[in-house]
Amino acid sequence: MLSVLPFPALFAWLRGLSAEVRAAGRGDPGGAPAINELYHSRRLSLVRLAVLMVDDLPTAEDVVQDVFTALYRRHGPDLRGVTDPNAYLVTGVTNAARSALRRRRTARAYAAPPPEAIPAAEDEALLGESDREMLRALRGLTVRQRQVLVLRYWSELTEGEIADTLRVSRGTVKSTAHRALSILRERLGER
Amino acid sequence: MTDEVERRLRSALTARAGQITAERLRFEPPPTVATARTPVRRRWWAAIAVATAAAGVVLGFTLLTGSPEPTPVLPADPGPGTSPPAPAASPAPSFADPSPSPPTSAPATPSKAAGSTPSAPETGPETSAPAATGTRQVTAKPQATPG
Repeated sequence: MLSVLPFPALFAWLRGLSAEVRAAGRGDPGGAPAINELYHSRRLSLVRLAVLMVDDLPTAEDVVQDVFTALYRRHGPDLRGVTDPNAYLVTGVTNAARSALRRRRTARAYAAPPPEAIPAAEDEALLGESDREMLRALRGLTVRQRQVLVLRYWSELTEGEIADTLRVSRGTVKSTAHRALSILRERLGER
Repeated sequence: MTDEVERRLRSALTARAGQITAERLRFEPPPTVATARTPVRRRWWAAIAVATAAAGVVLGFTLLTGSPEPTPVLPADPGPGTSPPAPAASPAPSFADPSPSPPTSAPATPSKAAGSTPSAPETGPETSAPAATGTRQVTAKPQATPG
């Protein structure tokens, strides 16, 4: 009576399951998927972009990892349906950074700011006085102003690309950048 | 003057970004590995649950069908002549009890009936009241099982 039960099928299923686990542990079983290649080639620059927006490295790394995970879950390892993965990633990092800053601002309303929310002391010490002053002034801008300036002056995106990334109009980008530069100029004492 | 702010801004952003090197990044698995872990682990739990349920079903099936059919409790056969209980036919003057047959069947039936109580609910509704008529249960079952 026990031979009637589907034990061979059960064993085959469990064998396949363990093989799947082994393949997942190895990483890329049959050639690197497109998303893994993209991950290895773009991760560092995206973390740098996120650091410029959120200030601290751990949060920036979390942001980038979340964006890659969301990209993989939505479009699979071969990035089907993604015409421009780089633009997708930059937009994702920008949005995730904005969300992280919003969460941090909400948390600051209830508790003291965590020590990792600002750059590490050694990082600050390695910068020149002029750079430190500029970064301090940059932290005083709104999230949107800061994003526009980072995308414009570090990512070297055009106004149209920034508008696409932030999903705003080009006029908004232009006015936001102008306003942000005016604030920086005021705070840095330049005319 | 605007160029000076822009130049300083570019310089500060480049200097800050340059502090982030590949060596400073913590190890993170590629997204295909990082996201594959959770479903696989979930599937392992599902496999364990299915295997446990299957083992329970097999065990229950084995216990239900593998155990021998509860053999009907037969009274010690006293012989063809005395099989029909005839309470009035055998007078026993030594007991005050009006039924004289219990002294002969009483030592056998209560002990066997006590041993077969777990299988009693399977036998059917006809044995629903074994305590009330112990002798009637014994006599009714042998007639029911051969058919």
